[in-house]
Amino acid sequence: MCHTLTNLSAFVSLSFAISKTTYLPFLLLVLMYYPDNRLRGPTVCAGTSDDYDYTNHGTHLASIAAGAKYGVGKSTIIHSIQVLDANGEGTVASVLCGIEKLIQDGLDYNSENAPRKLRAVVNLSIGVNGRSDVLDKAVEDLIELGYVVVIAAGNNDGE
Amino acid sequence: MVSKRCILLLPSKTLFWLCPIANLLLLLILYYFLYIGNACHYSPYHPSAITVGSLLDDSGDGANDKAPTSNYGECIDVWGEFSSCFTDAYHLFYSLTHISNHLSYLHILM
Repeated sequence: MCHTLTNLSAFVSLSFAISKTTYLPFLLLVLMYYPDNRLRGPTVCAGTSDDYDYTNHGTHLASIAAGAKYGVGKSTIIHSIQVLDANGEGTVASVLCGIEKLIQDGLDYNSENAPRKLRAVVNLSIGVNGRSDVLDKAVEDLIELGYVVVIAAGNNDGE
Repeated sequence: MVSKRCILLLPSKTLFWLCPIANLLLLLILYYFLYIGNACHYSPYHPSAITVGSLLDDSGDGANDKAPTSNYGECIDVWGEFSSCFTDAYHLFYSLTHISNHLSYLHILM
């Protein structure tokens, strides 16, 4: 059974951000391969025909994190993974797809075998109407892999 | 004996048929106040993750009231204000409540 994500939240992307200040070794490694581009991806898991951010929420968050002018971390690498559709809706399955791809892409950077212990921040600005054990387990997997996971508390109050 | 089945105190046994309805009503009220909006009851969640709620601070008095739609509860680790987020993508204050919860924690983290 699919859990429908709340459309009130209008969340678009799951962003994978690496802080320059905290994770400098990793940043340098990435810059070797992406010298002129701080945006990786986007990876699409939303079942949409393109990767355009129709609701702009993911773009807004990415701008806060890494915008060249107003961003908090101006050299931050953003790995954008789109898990909701153009209406800001999706399923737990699409989010799990995004998390799985994130783990696949980022495992090398978080591996114990990496030259240094490297960590990244995973931003989950999504909400489910209720609890989903599989989604919570996926979050647990991310944490066990060394990711710092930040989750929005949700906007269900007053519904 | 019938009245003992009632959570609510009803005036007489003649109203015993109201008990299921009254109990259901009470449960719905409890559900509303204890469940709806409590961040502990919504996924994704993990105790080791950082769960962020949002504060409304546009009154100018520094009251830091909770944003109207933001979830609440003991499962929230940090609070941050959502307003006045100035970004490259949007140079105007983006005031829609549907994004209110999710703007501040990157400020906190990075």
